[in-house]
Amino acid sequence: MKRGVWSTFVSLFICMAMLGASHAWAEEMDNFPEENIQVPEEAVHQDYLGISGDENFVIGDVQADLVLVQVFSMYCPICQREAPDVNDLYDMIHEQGLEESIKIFGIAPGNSSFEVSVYRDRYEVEFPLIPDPDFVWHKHLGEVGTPTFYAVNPGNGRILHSHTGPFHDGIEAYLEEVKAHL
Amino acid sequence: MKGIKTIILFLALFLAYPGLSPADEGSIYDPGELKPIDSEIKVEEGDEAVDFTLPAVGGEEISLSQYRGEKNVMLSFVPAAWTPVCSDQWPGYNIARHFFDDNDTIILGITTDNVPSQYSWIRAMGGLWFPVLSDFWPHGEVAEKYGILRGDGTAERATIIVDKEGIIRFAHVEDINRRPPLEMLVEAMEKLP
Repeated sequence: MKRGVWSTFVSLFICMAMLGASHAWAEEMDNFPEENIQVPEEAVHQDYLGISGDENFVIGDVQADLVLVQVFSMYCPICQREAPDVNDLYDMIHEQGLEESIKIFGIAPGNSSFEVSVYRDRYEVEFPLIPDPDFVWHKHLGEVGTPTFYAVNPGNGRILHSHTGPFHDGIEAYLEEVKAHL
Repeated sequence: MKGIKTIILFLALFLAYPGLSPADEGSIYDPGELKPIDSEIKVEEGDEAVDFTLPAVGGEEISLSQYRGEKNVMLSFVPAAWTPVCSDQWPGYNIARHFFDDNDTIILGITTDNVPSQYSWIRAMGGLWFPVLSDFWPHGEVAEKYGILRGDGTAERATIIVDKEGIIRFAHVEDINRRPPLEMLVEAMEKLP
């Protein structure tokens, strides 16, 4: 009996350690994958990112000093709850005159174009949101949880900052954190 | 030896763990990849929907027939509370409610879990605008009548849309490991008489 209890404790400890390690890995992934991303359909979004109308782009194609990539889902309650905050983040970037330096786009694992459009329309999201219906990008990103934000240097693909989960300290604090990497 | 088996079992469960929303961590049980469909549906479009009465999480009892002549009904069966795909399906309907309202359709969410489990799960998901019913006892009786009770006592990830006359207009069993695409459901509702 004692042995069974101990093995359960040991198992739980190992799993928790591995779980922690896996999330640390997801958050500490050094480079953003240099994989193809579907070009957003709308010309205004292509212009915003500074990419052409080709089928795909890579992170290095985005014309900015820093790219914030939001991994989200229309089905994710936290993503729904924080959508207005993320819109505020986009607005603050503009208000602070950083719209050429910091660009944002979203990737939606398991969401079709239609599902992404429901989220965009509901929250009036102005920045590009890109569907990932077959979880291709989700796998590239180590099946990270939603929502996750990556701040990426498009010049070398380095992930400079990452954040998973709710913005407990507020969106202003988050913007200050990423601005430190400019 | 038994201890080693326990450790291996826990590790196997860990390795099957996909990326979940942080809010889910620690409360979601992931069964891993499952047999996509494990039953044979007994109803089809054009059939009269079998009536049923089940307890709802709100404390009341809800019958399918109470919507007759009033609302179309989308029966959304999901396999189990506190599992990954299910926890990531119904919250999406919270921001898609206008599609259901526009098509005069109510959702009845159904699982074979008991009410207390459903209650906690719905709270963890941040609440839902539609009723959730428990097909716990007699276990899976309604799911069985519709031919969507799996061998392990859970329901399939099935969607059945019943019109105001009580006729089934759409019946779909999705791979249990995936969500039914929202556009498919909207298209089905828009075709309702």
